[in-house]
Amino acid sequence: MQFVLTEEQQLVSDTVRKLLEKEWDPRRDQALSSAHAVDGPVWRQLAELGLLGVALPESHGGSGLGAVALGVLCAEFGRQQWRAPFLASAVLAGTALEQAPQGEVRDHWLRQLAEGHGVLTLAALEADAGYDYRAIALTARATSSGWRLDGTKHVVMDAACADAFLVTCRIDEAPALVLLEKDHAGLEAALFTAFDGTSLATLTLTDVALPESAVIARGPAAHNALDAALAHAALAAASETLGACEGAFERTLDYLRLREQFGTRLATFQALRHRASDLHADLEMLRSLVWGAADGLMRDPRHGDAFAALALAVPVGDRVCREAIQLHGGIGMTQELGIGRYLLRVNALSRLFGDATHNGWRYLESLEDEHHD
Amino acid sequence: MTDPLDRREERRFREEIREFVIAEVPETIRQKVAQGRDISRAETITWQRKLVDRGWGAVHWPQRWGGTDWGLHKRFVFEEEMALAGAPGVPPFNTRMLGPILLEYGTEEQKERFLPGALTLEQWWCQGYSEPSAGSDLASLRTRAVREGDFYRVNGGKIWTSYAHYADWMFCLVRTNSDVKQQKGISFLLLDMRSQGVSVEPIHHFYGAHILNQVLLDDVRVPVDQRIGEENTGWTTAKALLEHERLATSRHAEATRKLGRLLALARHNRDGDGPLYRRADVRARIAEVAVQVKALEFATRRGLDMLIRDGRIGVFASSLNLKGVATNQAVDEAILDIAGADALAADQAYDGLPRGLLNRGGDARYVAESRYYLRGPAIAAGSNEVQRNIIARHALDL
Repeated sequence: MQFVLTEEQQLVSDTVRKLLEKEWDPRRDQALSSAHAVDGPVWRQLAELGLLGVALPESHGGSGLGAVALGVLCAEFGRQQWRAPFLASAVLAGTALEQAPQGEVRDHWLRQLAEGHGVLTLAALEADAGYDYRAIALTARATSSGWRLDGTKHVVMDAACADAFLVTCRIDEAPALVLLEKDHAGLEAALFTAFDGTSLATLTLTDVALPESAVIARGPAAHNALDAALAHAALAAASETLGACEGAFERTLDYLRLREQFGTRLATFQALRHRASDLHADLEMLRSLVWGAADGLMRDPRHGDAFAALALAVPVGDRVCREAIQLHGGIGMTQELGIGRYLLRVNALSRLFGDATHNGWRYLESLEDEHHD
Repeated sequence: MTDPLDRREERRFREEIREFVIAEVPETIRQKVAQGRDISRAETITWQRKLVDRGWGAVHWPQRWGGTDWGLHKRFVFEEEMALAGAPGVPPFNTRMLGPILLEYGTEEQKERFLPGALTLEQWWCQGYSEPSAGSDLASLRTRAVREGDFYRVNGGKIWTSYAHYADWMFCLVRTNSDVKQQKGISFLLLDMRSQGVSVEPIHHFYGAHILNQVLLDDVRVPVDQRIGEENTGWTTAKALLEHERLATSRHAEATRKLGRLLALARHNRDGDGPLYRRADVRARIAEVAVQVKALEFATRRGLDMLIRDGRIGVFASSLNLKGVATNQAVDEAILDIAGADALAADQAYDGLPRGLLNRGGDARYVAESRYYLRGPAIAAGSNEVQRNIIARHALDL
């Protein structure tokens, strides 16, 4: 198990940090939603560096650096408050495609995605299913001219800039992953922006024709691809939360060291020192768990530890980012300072991929599977 | 130091340990460990001697003294697997605290004299550090040792002394110079508990257990050749507790073992609607605890990694300590809640109860008192508050 970065992973971290420092200003770009990022310099340069496919195999245009590097990258995004379709495209759709069986369509889009020529997203979540991406009711209907789809998918990230959708559905009872390009007849995305700037959509499918070539995976293969995508998304979300916390916490510590009230620096008050120490200990645990979970995904792309990581990231993220505001006092409330954006982001991530209880349950499930092996 | 074990070697080694525990730990003791009960002095000594016979009595000592010469990773796996397998714990004072100090600072003669007995528990050691007015602020200790020829005359007293009522010997810190900076006037002495002037008074935990004591020292004569290191260097000696001991404060394997018990209890125990485990709130509670335990496990491995790479854990030990205690308490509290009314029987009453009295077979029972033991580590060896001060100063630069 590895708890320090290799030279290569450190390079990824340093490169992305410098890139974001140079090209991205969360305050200046306040109004931009995540979908705008694909037109910006950071996205383009990440593509050139091969980092849009950081965990995808080299044979498909990725860098083959694995889940640890993916975590490192997402932590940097979290720290610098970068909004982009990375989770939707590189992580969710990318992992699902990579885990799906080989095929012309799948291979083509995987390469497009990894090389930055195409953006994909996953359309999986349905109404009344909570955070359960695996609950699929949308069922293909058999007609004389083949399969047809009618229904709705919720919380589709970055539909605004997606070139294609990976849609979960059922064909002959079995779960399936199908790929539909954005201009496919019968697709309509109702766009809106989340409170953290993530671009979202509700995707309506009306009498959508489903050619055989669109079916990327069926049955257990679809199930496995989706599970791997969700496990990687959990790790990515946990890593991004960790990075956000680190950013918020470091800025807060700086403030405690400098700000004077009642004739002394805030850092001299033991009540505040102890609060900071508790946050530090929380973060050390989260950091350890995120790294351990990334290591698990290197061995098994569906490893359940990723859900444990997110289950811990949700409450720790909320606590650290709330405290960052509180410890700053009034200035912490301002858009100008921007410390509150960390809280918006970590809260949004848990709305997207499940709260602590949901992810904790999934982790417990994975422990039970272990016992049955 | 040997290289880290590969995965296959590690699996084989873990099996070997589990088989040993199954073969050598009697059922009665395994039950006690599972239920969080204390094991007796005689039971502890029997177990330690089995370990010694197997060559595992003090795995972190050099082979020459009955240790193993294993590398850090193998030692870690050994200790982890022992705890997971439910082997009884042996108090750390003999092999984990005194042993390394003797090995580092003792003379050859002192090693010859004390290491063999420390290994076999022929001599049971206790640790005389804390005093009534020197708790977390240990350096302010006042027990005085005055040199008289070949002896020190020791007056004062120690408090919170674990297992002093079992002990044959005590290693202790005494003040040999009051005119210098506190830390510079302390010496490290080995004191025979049967010496004239030593008396031991029990301090009972609020839940009844007797682990702690007060040790009164009234004109106790200690030969000078029972001093470790030079006079007034005792503070350095005491602080040199091996870095790897600081990993153990996380108690991660103990937490993992207890989590298994929590799951078993939740599946076994029922309310009117069926097994508790089917209840969403119970599963949420268990999941929350399981996540903390997993984080603690990885954090401890990260600590091991630091140790192997840098030879030290540094201030990370304070986070491990804080979270180790909190996580173990969280598991215990969850067990207590899942055990429900079955947890009511007091430890002392336990042996007399018919096995089937509450839950079938009685295995689902849990001795609530073990939970209260863990209020202790939040206070001992640097209270939670002291750990927070250390973090603020040394990790956060506040």
